[in-house]
Amino acid sequence: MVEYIPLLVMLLVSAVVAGVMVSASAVLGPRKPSGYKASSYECGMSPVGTARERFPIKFYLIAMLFIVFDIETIFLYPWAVTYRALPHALRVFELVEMGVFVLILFVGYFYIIGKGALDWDESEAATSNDRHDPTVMAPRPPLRYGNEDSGPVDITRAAGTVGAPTYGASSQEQGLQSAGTAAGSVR
Amino acid sequence: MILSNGASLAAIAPILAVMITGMIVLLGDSCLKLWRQAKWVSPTISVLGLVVSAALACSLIGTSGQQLAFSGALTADAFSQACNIILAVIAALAVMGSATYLENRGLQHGEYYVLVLFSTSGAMLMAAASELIVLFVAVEILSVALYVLAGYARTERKSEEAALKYFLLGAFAGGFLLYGIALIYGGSSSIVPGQVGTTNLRALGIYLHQMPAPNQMFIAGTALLMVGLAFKAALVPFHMWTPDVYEGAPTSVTAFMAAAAKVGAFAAILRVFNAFIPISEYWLIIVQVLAVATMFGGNILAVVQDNVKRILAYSSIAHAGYLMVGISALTGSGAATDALKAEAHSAAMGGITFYLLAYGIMTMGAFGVLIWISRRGRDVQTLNDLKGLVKTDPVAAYTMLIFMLSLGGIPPTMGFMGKWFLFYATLQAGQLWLAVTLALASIISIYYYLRVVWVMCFTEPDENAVAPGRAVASGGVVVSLIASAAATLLFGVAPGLLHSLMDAASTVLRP
Amino acid sequence: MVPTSYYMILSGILFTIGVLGVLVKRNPIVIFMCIELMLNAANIAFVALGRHFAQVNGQMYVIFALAVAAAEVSVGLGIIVSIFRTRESINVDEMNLMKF
Repeated sequence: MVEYIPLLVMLLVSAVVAGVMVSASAVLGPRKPSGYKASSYECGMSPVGTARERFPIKFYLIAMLFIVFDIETIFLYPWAVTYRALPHALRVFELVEMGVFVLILFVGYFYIIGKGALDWDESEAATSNDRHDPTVMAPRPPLRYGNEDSGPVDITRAAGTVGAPTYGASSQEQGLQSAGTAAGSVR
Repeated sequence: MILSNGASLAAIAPILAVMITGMIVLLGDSCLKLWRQAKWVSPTISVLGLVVSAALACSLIGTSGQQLAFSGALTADAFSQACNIILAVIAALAVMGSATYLENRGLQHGEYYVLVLFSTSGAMLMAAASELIVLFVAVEILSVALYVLAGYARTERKSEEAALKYFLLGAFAGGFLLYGIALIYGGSSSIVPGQVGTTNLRALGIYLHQMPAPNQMFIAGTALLMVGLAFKAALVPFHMWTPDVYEGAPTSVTAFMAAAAKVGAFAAILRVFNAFIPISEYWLIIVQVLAVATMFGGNILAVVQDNVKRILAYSSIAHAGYLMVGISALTGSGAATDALKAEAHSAAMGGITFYLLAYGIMTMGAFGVLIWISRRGRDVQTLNDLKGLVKTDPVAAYTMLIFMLSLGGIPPTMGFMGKWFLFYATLQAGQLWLAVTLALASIISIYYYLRVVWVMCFTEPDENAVAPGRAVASGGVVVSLIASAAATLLFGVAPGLLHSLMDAASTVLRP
Repeated sequence: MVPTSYYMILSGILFTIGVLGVLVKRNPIVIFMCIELMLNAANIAFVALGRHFAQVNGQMYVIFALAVAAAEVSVGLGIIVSIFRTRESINVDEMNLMKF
């Protein structure tokens, strides 16, 4: 237990120093508030609207793909650690095995490329009729209220009549919004 | 016998065949335009891959004894090959039955077949797993693919709701499973020499046999493991998700889910509890309570349903109860001598394997008929839709009759033989009361199966139920229906044809 | 050195919090965070026990559990986003189209 005392002292000292700094500047510092100063800081730009608006669905898609491919790399670490300790006879087998593992990851990678999940530019995806992704990329009718139909929806008609909800200001943003209609919002 | 790395790969060739087929379909469908435009390519290649897998499993079933692959992480014995055959048959029936159904509903995408193949490989791995962490990974391979399949009709509220319910409860069960494994890993140190932990089922079985005195952590881990697996196998009281998910998912997905997930879950339960037989005094009573609750719960709740998919969902719960009776018979708790115990064990193993195949084929068949009736573009859901079917569509009605009789366990069918084998094994194990309970529960079940038959045969067709429109159906669903109906009758009359399959199962030794 | 039992108690507490959270929460994302808590409680137990037994097994199990959890996260978020797009709400109390 006794070896933890310096840690405790350090925690106390840092808490005291930080507390003194914050309270001293709050008590001693001169204040001349104005509306512009009180607004939120956005890297020198004047703030536009609230931050709690919807983002295009693509951000979520990229995040999901990132999670999956990111976590697969941790399997490389234990493999790399044990590889050197292996007898020579086994090394080729282990190398091939890791090759197969990476190959399987590549299958997934080619799949998402083939589906166009990584195409950020909408115009390109719109012109090639090849894309028919069932899970992520297909244009969907915007939010429907009431009257649920249980059959497949006529996408073009639904999109034409209801119209995509728009939240962005510029026309470019509107394009993005209607393309990734109604992404989940952060609440 | 511990296999070398190369021999290990050869021993699990049926599983690899399914996985590789899945990846080929995935790549072909996403990258080749011609492949995608010809709608028949993905299902055809999937069925071919499954046939290859079944053939490989058939050729390996005779040669493999107690083979430990990959340093004991997988057991590539004859039981796992038997499960591979059963699962490949189920998946092939599912793929053949789905193509037209999906086309009619505008859901035809290559990903469907990929997900079916991947979840099949997960179920196959569950049957082969002998390391608990491999079991966990296999369960998740099966489940994650099934979560997506449940929500496959993603513009429909019911399908989405089914996916969310299945996902949340499935992941919840996965948490119990993993924590149970962690506790078993910690608790095993008291029985393993050298005060280290292990999660290898085979090793645990041997050590438990030598010293059947697990500590409390081990018992708690076993209990959590049982909860997790009971969720996956839909045993009462962990069955709440089943009817909702089965109703909401597209019918072709429901069929596959009902058959494959249950076969995988029971193969895993069998592997786990077979290893834990030496400590059966701790878990036998719980298994028996679960079995009785599941049989009666499933059957009684099925009686009050009006939706055919829900009736079949509750019926699948009840069938899980019958299989749990088989798990209880594995212990041979009431048998007097060790020789009799061993006899009861092998009878139970054979009975469970036969029942898994029978259950898979009957379930695929019953849902297959629903898919077949839906060919006019109307998704059959309620009993009303089946009214007077014998007049509007006699072939479908008589085929359904076969599967209903089989599910109810009425003689010239596979379902009857399966129940008989389980009943016999339970008597062998000296658990007379459980055998009587099984018979009583089956009698309740006959009511609602015959209710479906009565609605089909003795009521006038409902005006709304006769769907207008042109009938669209392909050969696939016809072939799958003929195959399952023929198998139901053939193996019901001559169960001896599956002798080698049942013998294979008894290679799983009592520890 | 901290005894292994402390880690096991910590993991037990985390697991219990996770289970309770799943039972009381109404937002599927929060429910899923609670499930992740359950999985990570098991991971803590694995690592602590592996260290206690001086085995690497425990740490390898954690890697497998992490990979599985990542796959579940992406599928789960996909399902939730898809539901939000049709319903404009993800409250689990509103998932009541099918009953009994």
